[in-house]
Amino acid sequence: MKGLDKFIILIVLVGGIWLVLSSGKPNLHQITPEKMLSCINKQERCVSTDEVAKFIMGKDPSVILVDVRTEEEYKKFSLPGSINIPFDSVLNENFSSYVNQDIYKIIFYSNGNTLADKTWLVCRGLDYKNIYVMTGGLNEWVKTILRPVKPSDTESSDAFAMYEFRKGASKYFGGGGSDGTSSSVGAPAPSAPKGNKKKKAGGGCE
Amino acid sequence: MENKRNKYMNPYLAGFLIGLMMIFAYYYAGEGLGGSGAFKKVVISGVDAVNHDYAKNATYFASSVQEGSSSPLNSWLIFEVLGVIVGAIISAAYFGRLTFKIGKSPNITNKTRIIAAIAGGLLWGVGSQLGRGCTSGLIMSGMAVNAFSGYVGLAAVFGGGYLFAYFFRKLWI
Amino acid sequence: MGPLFPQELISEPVNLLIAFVIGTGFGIGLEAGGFTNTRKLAGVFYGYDFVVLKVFFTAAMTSAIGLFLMNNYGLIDIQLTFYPSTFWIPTLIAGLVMGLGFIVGGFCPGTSVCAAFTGKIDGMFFVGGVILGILGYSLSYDKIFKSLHLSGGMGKVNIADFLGISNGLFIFIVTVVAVVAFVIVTKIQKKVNSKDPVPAIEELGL
Repeated sequence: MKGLDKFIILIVLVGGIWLVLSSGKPNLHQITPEKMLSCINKQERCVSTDEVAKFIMGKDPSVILVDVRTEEEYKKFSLPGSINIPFDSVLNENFSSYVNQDIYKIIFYSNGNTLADKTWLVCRGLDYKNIYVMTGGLNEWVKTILRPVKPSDTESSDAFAMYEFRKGASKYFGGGGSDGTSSSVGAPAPSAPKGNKKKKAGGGCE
Repeated sequence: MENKRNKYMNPYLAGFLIGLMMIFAYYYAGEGLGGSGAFKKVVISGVDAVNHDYAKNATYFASSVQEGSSSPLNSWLIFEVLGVIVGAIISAAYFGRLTFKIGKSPNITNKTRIIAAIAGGLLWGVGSQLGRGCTSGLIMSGMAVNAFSGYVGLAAVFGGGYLFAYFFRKLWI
Repeated sequence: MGPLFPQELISEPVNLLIAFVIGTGFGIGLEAGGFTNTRKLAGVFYGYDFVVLKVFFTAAMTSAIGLFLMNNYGLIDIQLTFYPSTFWIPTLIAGLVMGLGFIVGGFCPGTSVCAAFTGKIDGMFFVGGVILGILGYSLSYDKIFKSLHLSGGMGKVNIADFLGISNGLFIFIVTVVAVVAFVIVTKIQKKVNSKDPVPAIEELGL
């Protein structure tokens, strides 16, 4: 092999080693929550509304859904089978016994992401295991599961398969099928969560 | 001075360059590099131009040709492939390779080579649609982000190639 | 930070301009690497020229290492990119079809574009074949391919998660395998070409 060959291969190998070293877990107690959120691989933290719908429909016994909003909000509307642990009482001994374990998969949800994320951070800081956040919260739930919108972008096959699932799920949860007819459950229409609008890129080489 | 037309860039350097472009593609556009995607867009807009009503109602076209949506040609992949064409011409001009030729083994006729090229193209056309991408869009872009699909494609394309290589060796050796 | 366009940090015209620039780099890499020469491409299957393997794996591993390094340092969020969904059944079948197409046609779609526009007549016919193939596929999609196209859906699967190891470790392993492969194929190439010399590509291929 020539010099240039070796040089480039060396760069790639060094990059690979650097990559392995850099993906070590950050020290959770010494960094700010924002940093912690961005450092942690989203996949470890987030569960999509579709997955949650599947859990509920499949009556998965290993999953506990935790509503971290206030009691009033919980009474007005909540996901079937979820329990209510308001954010400020997560550390309460009665409740921490629910959350601090590693048998069940605990999924937090709130209206948007913020409150559930905060809860997650607190619990992660306490080194609780098996905790997740439902991405987008109930806003996303209403948008994707109760009132799914027919996809129209180019990545059709995926989107349509998902749409079919959501239409079924919508019926199951009494969300009134596909179109925008008002849902039968008094689903809240909470203010949209803050944050930048994230448009999914489409296309690729399909 | 020796003719440059048979000179090629160091393969690792060429790969490194393509890898950097892939990183830029993901960083700026959020998607990988593609090849067959642009072909698909060309086909879609062609069918749409010939028979708009058909395109509007056929599943495969419908999502890209509804009223009011911008032309399928006005897309990232089309501009990327336009760039690929320009880049290839620049490089070929630099190396003095910009002439009309047929690349083939000396043991087969031009006619055989052309028929094989069309047949190979047809297979890629079908395969890239069924597999949601070609070597660049499915495999390389997939591998860049550790997507499972990329590695399935890698195994299948190269596995298939080696599987069938023996039967078509006359075309190449 | 990145990806910029899906988060609407750059406008569409800028994005398309960048697409053109990136494409130009890609095209130069392909042409200069020798990917318009079909005999160089086919050589990987017969052992007389491994340029495809070298370019391909260097590109894939460079980009994977770069992207996940950026991900680890918060410069890009891979979760926000167009992340390919896995449909393993059609991908496997299509891969075999494309493998056959590779060995028969001597190009893949990306390289055929470069070849066609730099004067390779076989490349032009190949491009025509690809377009006909896509046309045939799309016109018969509802009748023939639809159910196969949508079968085996697994969602957005990350292979490192699938294997239960970290992204960095997986990429490092593949990189090491690739480097070992580079060394081996260089030896094979020398051996094949010295024992039973395929007529020099330079003289015949172009």
